[in-house]
Amino acid sequence: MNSRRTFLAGLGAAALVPASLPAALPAALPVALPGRGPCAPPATGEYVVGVTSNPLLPGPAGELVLRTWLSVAADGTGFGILTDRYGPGSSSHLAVQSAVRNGHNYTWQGVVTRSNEPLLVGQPFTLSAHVQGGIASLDLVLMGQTFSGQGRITD
Amino acid sequence: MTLARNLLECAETATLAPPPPQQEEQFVMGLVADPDAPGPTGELAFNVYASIADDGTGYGTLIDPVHPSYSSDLRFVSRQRQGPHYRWEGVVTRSNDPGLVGQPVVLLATVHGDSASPLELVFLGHTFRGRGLVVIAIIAILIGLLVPAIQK
Repeated sequence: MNSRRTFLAGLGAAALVPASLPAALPAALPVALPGRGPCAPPATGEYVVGVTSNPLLPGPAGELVLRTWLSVAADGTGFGILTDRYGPGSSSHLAVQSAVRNGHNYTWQGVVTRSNEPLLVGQPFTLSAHVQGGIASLDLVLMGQTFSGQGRITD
Repeated sequence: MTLARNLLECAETATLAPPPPQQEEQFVMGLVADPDAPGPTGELAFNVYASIADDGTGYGTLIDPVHPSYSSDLRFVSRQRQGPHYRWEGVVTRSNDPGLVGQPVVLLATVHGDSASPLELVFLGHTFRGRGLVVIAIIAILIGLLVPAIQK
């Protein structure tokens, strides 16, 4: 219970610190890039695995190392898991509601459906990725905070 | 000079010989769920990991961090392959829920490149479906060719 409180307090406190808002936040939004063709759901679906964190966040949120998995069907819907081994309060199930791919850039959006922290249920999330050389740079936006890291995507 | 000639002769022989036997090992990771299942089963989402040796034996884990009582260790005892379709059979060896120990598990994957799509886990009478990543290591056994060359 205590860790649950501190986890949420950490996220809440972080949300109040403007300096902690990452510059990469706009990149997490699914934006159609002019001149690069229309964005559309990927044709085959994806499996995504990655690890993200944001040590600049104050409090417990800055200590989170969030492992993320998504399984996304060709129609852009799917499900996922979010967890931190040492912050089990953050462990959550995700529903993927949309997927957009534009070349090497992916964006998945959805909502937390179940969580060890009830207040996370219903919270929207966005996971964006830029693939280069087999490795994906990831940005996970949750509770207004961006956690960045690396991962792998298979189509 | 003689050694070089022997190696060349051996290499020529090797090109005429049938391909050397190969060992195939797999590492599988994926995410599966069965949201249509009734009751609590429909709320599960498993991270699946498996490490399989050439003889089809290996080990793995099932983890649902939101439902940790289902987290289990697996032992795989056999593998079947037909083209891109893999089937691994095993059993739960350890679990946070002792009642799951001994339950059979079957992992099915259709492999395209390094993608497992679909990836299916048959467990507790349900089929959990999703996607995953498969890394396949194919190791040709060249020792049988190199040893005669060196001896010669």
